[in-house]
Amino acid sequence: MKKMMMGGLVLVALVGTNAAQAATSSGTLTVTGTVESSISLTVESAGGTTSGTGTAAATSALGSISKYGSAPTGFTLAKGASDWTLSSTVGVNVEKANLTSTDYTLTAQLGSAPATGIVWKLNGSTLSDSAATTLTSTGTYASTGSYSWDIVVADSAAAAAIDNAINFTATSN
Amino acid sequence: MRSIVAITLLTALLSSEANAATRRRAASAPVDPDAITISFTPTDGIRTMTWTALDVGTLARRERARGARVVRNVAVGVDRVSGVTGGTATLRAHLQFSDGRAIVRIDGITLGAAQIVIDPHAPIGSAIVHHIEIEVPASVPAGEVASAIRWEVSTN
Repeated sequence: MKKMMMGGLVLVALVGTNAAQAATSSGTLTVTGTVESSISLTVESAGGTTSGTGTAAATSALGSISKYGSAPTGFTLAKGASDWTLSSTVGVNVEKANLTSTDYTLTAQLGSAPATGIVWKLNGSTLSDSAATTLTSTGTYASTGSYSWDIVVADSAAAAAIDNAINFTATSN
Repeated sequence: MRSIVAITLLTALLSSEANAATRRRAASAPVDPDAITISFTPTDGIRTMTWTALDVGTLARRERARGARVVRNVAVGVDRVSGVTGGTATLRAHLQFSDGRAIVRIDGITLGAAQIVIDPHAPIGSAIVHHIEIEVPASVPAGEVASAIRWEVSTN
């Protein structure tokens, strides 16, 4: 009786094997693309009440400024004989991807002509809206460079907004 | 002894039956009606694609924390040759070829040389969209990248 059961079990197993044959299919999907070199620039820090740091479009609000008032957050104020200077720093970071370049050139240019009696400086160089000023030609990637930032206001300048934009441009060498 | 004869006989019968079935299939239908197929269909703005090739175009780094990255959606269809729907299949994939310059993920799962299960219950008779992600690390020089994803599907 035991032996007969064994035979029955073998039958089930054989049938099961036949029924369990899975159908299979396969295919290959070839994926291709082209990687482009790229660099990114971000403003990491600046004097004033900032927003958007860590991006390429930061804003710094200085509020109301005056020769005999308090310096805005993150600035120092130095009084001269006929002018006064607000000083701070701007931190700029440039990163690269898929690029063999070892360093970069960073320039800055004002977005619009400064108001009369107002001078904008970065790294000691006066900025203009007509030409770019080179801040460094050997910038190190992925390392935030700190650049001195001065706003010189003549005593003769009209009391008015000094709003402007500093446009940075990084170019891989 | 009787049981051994019985087993032998059953085996012979089954073998004979199986052979007969094979012969019948061969004579009446050259294609196994239970056979399944796998197909690929683009579902978004893919630059060019045939059923076996997917060109993701140009890749450039957009996000600071990652390398150059692109995601494309591809509908993978599993169908029976007979047209009969129902049931499920297991969908697996692996990298059949890679130039080593890109990381390839399907639905967030990184592919390698070893097969992995992408979908253990892919419905037969319909297509399921899968996200194919290509990421090129920032340290990889610019240029062409190429990989081949081998997909395999088997009925459950």
